[in-house]
Amino acid sequence: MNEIGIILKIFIAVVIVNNFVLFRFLGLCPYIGVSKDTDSALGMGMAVIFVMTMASAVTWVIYNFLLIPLHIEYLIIIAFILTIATLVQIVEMIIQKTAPVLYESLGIYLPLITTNCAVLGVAMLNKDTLTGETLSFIKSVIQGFGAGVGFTLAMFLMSGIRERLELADVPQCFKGVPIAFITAGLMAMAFLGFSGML
Amino acid sequence: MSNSVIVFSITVLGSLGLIFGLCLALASHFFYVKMDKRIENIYNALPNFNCGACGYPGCKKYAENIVKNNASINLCTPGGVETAQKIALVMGIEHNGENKRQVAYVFCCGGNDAKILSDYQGIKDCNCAVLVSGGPLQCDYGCMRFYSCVKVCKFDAIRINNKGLPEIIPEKCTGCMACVKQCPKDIIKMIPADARVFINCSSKDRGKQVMDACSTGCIGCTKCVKACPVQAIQMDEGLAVIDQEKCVKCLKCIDVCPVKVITTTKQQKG
Repeated sequence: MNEIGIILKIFIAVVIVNNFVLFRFLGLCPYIGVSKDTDSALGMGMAVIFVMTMASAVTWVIYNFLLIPLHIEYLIIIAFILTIATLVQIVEMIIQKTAPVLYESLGIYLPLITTNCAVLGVAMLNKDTLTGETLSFIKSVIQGFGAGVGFTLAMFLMSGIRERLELADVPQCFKGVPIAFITAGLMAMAFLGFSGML
Repeated sequence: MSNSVIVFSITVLGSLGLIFGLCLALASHFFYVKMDKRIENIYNALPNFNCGACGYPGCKKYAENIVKNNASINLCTPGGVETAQKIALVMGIEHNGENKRQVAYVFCCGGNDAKILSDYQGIKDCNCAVLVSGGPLQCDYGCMRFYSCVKVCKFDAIRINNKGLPEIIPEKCTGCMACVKQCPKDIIKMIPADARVFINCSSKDRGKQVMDACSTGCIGCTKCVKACPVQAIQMDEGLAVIDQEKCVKCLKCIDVCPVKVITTTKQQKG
């Protein structure tokens, strides 16, 4: 029971309180770049959930069964980049072969995520949490999944707001990306209201 | 000591890279998806604007449909005849050298002549304005001049003429139909690029209503229908419509029109 409670806590923490985009400021380029309409934002979000969950699982194995036994923890960044890039490529190939329909909807976003800092961030944070301990395998996967859900949530909210902003009477000099930046800042401040909730 | 650390790191990372590389190579072998070479070649020949003028979502899909579903090869408007010939070369078929180019045209000449019923103060967008009792104009078919079509045009092909109406520059129009889809009044329609005579009104109201709402609107008097020597003009629910395929550009309809809604391209630009 206690274990399930902790897992739930991790999930909520990473979705809302420590949201990757709005609290840790990771993955800002797709957050601004792909949030112009809701459809592509959701597509990107689904791809990120998928990749983050996979990456959490695989990097946990790499870290605990390769880097720690060989005492080369300082190679963590380059090893994780290598792992994630390979993983995304292989997953892309497998999807293209086995599920063409899924590939049609996720395919264009997968290469974008290969070197996304949010994905690397979730892998790094699995071993280096705020409490200072390394997470177990299940908790790592949950944290990866939750981070993806949080990312999708932020993207979805942002795209909805930006679709409304398209119609609003915004001053000429603020049109487009400037107003999007201001919106992003305000959203991050609003999400700060959740801090201390858990 | 430090030397051994460097060597150790290089060995571990190198072998990691080697294993991943092998994995990728194996995956690309086992999960190889056979692609038709012709699709790739056609895709390279297309201009890659992804404008959708061909009726397919993007250049990639158009290339696939040419090969798989025998789509016509002369649908690419931005690429024109040149692209069609390149595609013909890939597919090994003859190209008849003619592209049916279609351009958008605004079928309204109301502008300042159209009577305004209400003073709309909301968001400056046609699709928003039309929600408030069908827009501020008395005419249900008139251009409200909030220029949503101008904003949506990616190719800078719509300008605003001296009557304040959007006017499509045929040379720049790629036929992507973005403005046609945007217009809430459906007064932008596609016409062949070689069309020269236009009836600049979309109103299907009766004559008296049209005259009340706008001083330059088709009142459905059928004079042009009778004047046309080749029966190219037909009445469609009280509105005269030209069949551009039949039109011989004799300009007789222009002389007989009592409300002067029929124009040629030259008059429009002058």
